Amino acid sequence: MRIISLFFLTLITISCFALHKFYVSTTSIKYIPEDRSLQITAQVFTDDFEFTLQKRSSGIKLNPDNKVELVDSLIKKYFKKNLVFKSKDSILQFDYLGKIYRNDLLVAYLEILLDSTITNFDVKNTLLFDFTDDQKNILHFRSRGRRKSFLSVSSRHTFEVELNISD
Amino acid sequence: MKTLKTFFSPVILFTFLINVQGQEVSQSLGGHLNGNKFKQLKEELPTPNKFRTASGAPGEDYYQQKVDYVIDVELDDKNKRLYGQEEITYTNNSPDVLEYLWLQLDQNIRKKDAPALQKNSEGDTAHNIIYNLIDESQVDRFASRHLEIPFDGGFNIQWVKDESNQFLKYTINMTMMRVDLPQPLKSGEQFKLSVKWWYNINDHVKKRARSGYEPFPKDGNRLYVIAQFFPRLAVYNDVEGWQNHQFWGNGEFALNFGNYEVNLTVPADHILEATGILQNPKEVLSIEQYRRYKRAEKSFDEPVFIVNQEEAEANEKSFSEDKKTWKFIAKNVRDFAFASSRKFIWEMMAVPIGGKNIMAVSLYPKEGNPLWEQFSTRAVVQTLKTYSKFTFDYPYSKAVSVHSKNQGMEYPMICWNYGRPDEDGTYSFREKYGMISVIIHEIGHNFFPMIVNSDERQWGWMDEGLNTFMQYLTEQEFAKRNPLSMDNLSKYPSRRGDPDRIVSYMAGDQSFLAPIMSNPENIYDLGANAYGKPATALNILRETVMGRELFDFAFKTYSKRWKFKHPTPADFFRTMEDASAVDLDWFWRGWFYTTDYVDIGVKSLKKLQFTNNIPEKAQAIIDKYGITNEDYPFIFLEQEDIKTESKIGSDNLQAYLDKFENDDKVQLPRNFYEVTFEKLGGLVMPILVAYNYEDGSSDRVKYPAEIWRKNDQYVKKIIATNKKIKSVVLDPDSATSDIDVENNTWPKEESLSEFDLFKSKTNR
Repeated sequence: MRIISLFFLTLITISCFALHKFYVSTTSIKYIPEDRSLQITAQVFTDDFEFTLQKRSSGIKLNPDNKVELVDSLIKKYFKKNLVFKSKDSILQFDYLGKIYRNDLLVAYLEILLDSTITNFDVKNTLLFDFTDDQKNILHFRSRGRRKSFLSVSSRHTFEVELNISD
Repeated sequence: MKTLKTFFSPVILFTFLINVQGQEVSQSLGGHLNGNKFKQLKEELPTPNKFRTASGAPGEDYYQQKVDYVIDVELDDKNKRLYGQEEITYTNNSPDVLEYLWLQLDQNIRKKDAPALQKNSEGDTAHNIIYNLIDESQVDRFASRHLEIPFDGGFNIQWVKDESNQFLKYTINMTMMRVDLPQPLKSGEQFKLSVKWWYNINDHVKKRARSGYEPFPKDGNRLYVIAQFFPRLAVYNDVEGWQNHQFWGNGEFALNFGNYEVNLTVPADHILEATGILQNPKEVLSIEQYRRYKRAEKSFDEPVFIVNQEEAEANEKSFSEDKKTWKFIAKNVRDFAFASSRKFIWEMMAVPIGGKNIMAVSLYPKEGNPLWEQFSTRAVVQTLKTYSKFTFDYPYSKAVSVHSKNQGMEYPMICWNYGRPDEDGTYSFREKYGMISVIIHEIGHNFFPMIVNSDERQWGWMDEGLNTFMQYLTEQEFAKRNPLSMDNLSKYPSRRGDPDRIVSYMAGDQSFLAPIMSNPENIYDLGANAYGKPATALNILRETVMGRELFDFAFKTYSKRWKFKHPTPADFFRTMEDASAVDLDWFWRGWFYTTDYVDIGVKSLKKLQFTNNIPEKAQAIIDKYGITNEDYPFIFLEQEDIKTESKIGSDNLQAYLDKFENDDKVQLPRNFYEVTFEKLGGLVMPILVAYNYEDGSSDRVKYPAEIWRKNDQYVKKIIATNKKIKSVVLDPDSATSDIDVENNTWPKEESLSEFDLFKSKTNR
C-alpha cells in the first residue's frame, strides 16, 4: 500500500494547560571542522518513541535488554526517514552509532562525514510528528564556538544550515 | 608582618598602567537612556498605593469581594448532561459602586461557534501534523478534526433572577455574562441572584479539556471529573476592575473567595469526592464504608480503603437507576469541583499538620493500578508536608488526588491526575515519575493559586512557576523519604527546576521565546515559559543569589502575606526584596521581563610579573606628566608567559620590600594572575568559579552579580596566590543555566564530549 496523501493541518484544541505530558525532542548537531564531520545527538522520550515504533513492529519494547539488533534497526530506519540531512539535493547518509537509555529518554548518536565541497546543508526534523499533534523538536547547531537554534513544527520542519555560522 | 593592604598603597598609583594595556576600543556612544541592567524597576512596576504597599504587602485599603454559593446539581449519566441551579450572594467590599456584575461561563469555550475554536492560524503554533492516511490512528484524528459534527457544548442559561424572583437582564459575551443590577450596588452592600442552567458534558479525552468524562467502552461506565460547571462571579479588584479577559483556553482562572454549599445528585452507585467537607456520610455511604471512613481519620501510617478494588469492580457492573445526593460545605474556597463514577477505588489516611489531621485521599479506577495504590496517597502526604513547611500550614481538611486520563488539573482540595499503566499492568519510567510529579504539582496548587490566589488569567507563571518550584523541592524530599521507590536513582528525576534543564529552551530560537511577564495566551511553549523558567529562576535565587535562609524567609513572608488574598507580580517581586534586603530588580528584569539567557565564559588567564620594563603606553603617560622615578618609584606589571617562574623583576619594588625588617617583612604572593570573564549572554549572574591549582587544591569563589554593573561585556580579577593555577572552571556545579559551557574553562578543555565518549565506547 502506498501513502495516499499528506495533509498539513492545524489541530485546534484547548490543549495547553495545567500539567500534562509534553512532547519535545532535542537534537544537537555539532560541526567538527578537523574531521569535517557532524556529530548528532538526538533525545526523544522513550515511551512516545516506543509507541511509534510499535506501529512498525507490533509489541516491540524499548528497554536495554530487549532484542537489541531489531530495536537498533527500527530506530535507524525511523531516523533515516525523520531526521534527514541533505546537501545539493543529495542525502547525506549518517552512520548510526547506537543509543542509550537515560531515565525517560532515549539518546541516539549519529555521525555524518562531509565531503570537502559542502558548505551548507538542509536538515529536516519530523521526529514523532506521527505520534502527536503537539510534538515539537528543538534543534541546536554548533560550529566553531557559535550556535544557532531552530524549532521544528510540521508547518516548518526543514532548515538551511551554514557550516560556518555568520552573524 | 605588614598587611598586604599597606603594602599595596604605593603601588595603586600605578595600576592605571595595567588598565592602559588592557583597554579595548569601544565605539563612541551618543546620548542615551538608562539601559543599565541594574536599573530599578520603577517604570515597570505600578506605583504603590493604599491597596498595595511598596513593601509588597496588602495596604490599609486592600479589599476583596466575597461570593457565596448554594448550588444544586444533578448529573444525568445516561444523557451525559449536567443540570444546575445556584443562589449567589455577592458582597461588594470595594469602595466602588457597581452597576452590573460579570459572571464567567467557561463552558462556553465548547460552544459550536466559540471564537476560541478559531483562535489559531494555520502554522503559527506547533499544533500541526502531517497526517498519514495509511495509519489508522491518524485517520481517526483527521476524521475527528474535519469530518465530525462539532460538539454541542456550552452553558444553556435558562434564567437569571433576583431575590424576589424577578428576572434579571443579562447579556452573554463569549465566555462572560453581564447581569445588570436593578439598583447600583454600593460599597458594603450585598446582592443575591439565582441562575438556572444545563449543559452537555464533553468527552475530555477526545479534545483534551480540563473537565468532562472519560468513557470506558469495555464496561460501559464513565468517569466524570466536573469543573467550571457553574456560572462563577468574575473578580473585581483594584488592579483590573472587572476581569475582562475572556477565557480563550490557556489563561486559567481569576476567582473570588467565598463559602460553598453544594448538593450533588448522582446515580446511587457512584462514588464521589468534591471540594469541601461531606455533610451526610451516613446517608451516602454503606455502614461498612462509613466505619472505614471513620477509621481512616485515625490511620497515620497507611491508607484505609473505603472502597477496595474488588468492591469497585463489582460496583461498576451495577448500573443503578436510583439517585443519591452528596452534600458538601466548603468554607473560604475560590472554586468547587467534583469527581463521580462507579469505577472508583477510594482510599485515605490522616496527616498531622499544624495540630490538625488532614486527610490525604486518592480516588482511582482499577485501570490506574498498580501505579495508583503504590504512589498516589504517598505523593499527597509528602506534598502537604513539604509545602506547609515552606509556606503555611495547609488550612483545609483534606486533599484529594483523582485519577483521570491525560489530566493534570487543580481545584480546591481536589485535583485530576494522569498516570495510566499499560493494559498488562506494566508502565514506563516516564509514566511512573510523571504520575508522582503531576500529583505533587496539582495537590501543590492548593497553595498556589487556590489559597495564594493570584490571577491566572493574566499571569500563568504566578501560580505555575511558584508551584513548579515548590514541586521540585517536594520531589527531592519525596525521593529521600521513599528511597526504595526510586529505582536506584541518586535523586528524584525532576523534569523542571534544576538549572541545566531549562537551557535547551532558553538557548532556543528567539522568535519562539517570550518573557515570563507575558499573558499565557500569547506564548509558544507555555510549559517552559510559565512553569520551567520561573521555577528555575526561583531555584537559582535560592541556591546561588540569595542563599536558602534569606530566600526561604522571604518566600514564606510572601505566602503568608497573600494567603487567602489576591497578589500581583509586583507584590511578589517587592516582598522578596523587602523581606531579604537583597535588591533583586536586576534579577526580575532579566529573568522575568526579557528573553535573555546566561552565557558567561573565561576569556583569558594571564600571568603578571613585576618588572623594570616600562610599557610603551606607560612611557607616554610618564612623558606627558613629566613624572620621574625619583618623584615616585615606578613599579610595573607586565604580562608573562603563564609557565614563567615567578620573580620580583622590579628593582623599585625589591628596594621597597627590603626596607621592612623582621616581623614587618612583607610576604609578597608569588604569583599574580589576571583572569578575564566575558559575558556573551544578556542575563546578569554571579560569577561562580573554581580556581584549581597545580598542587591539587582548589578555591571556590563567588563574585556578586553586581560585578557586571559598570561593564556588561567583560570583567577582570587579579588572583594573588602562592600557588600556580592549573585551570579555571566557571560554574563548576551547573548552577546558573549557562547555555554554553564550552567557554567555561581555561585552558580550553579538550575533554571528550558526550558524543566522543559514546563513540569511543562503541569502538567506531
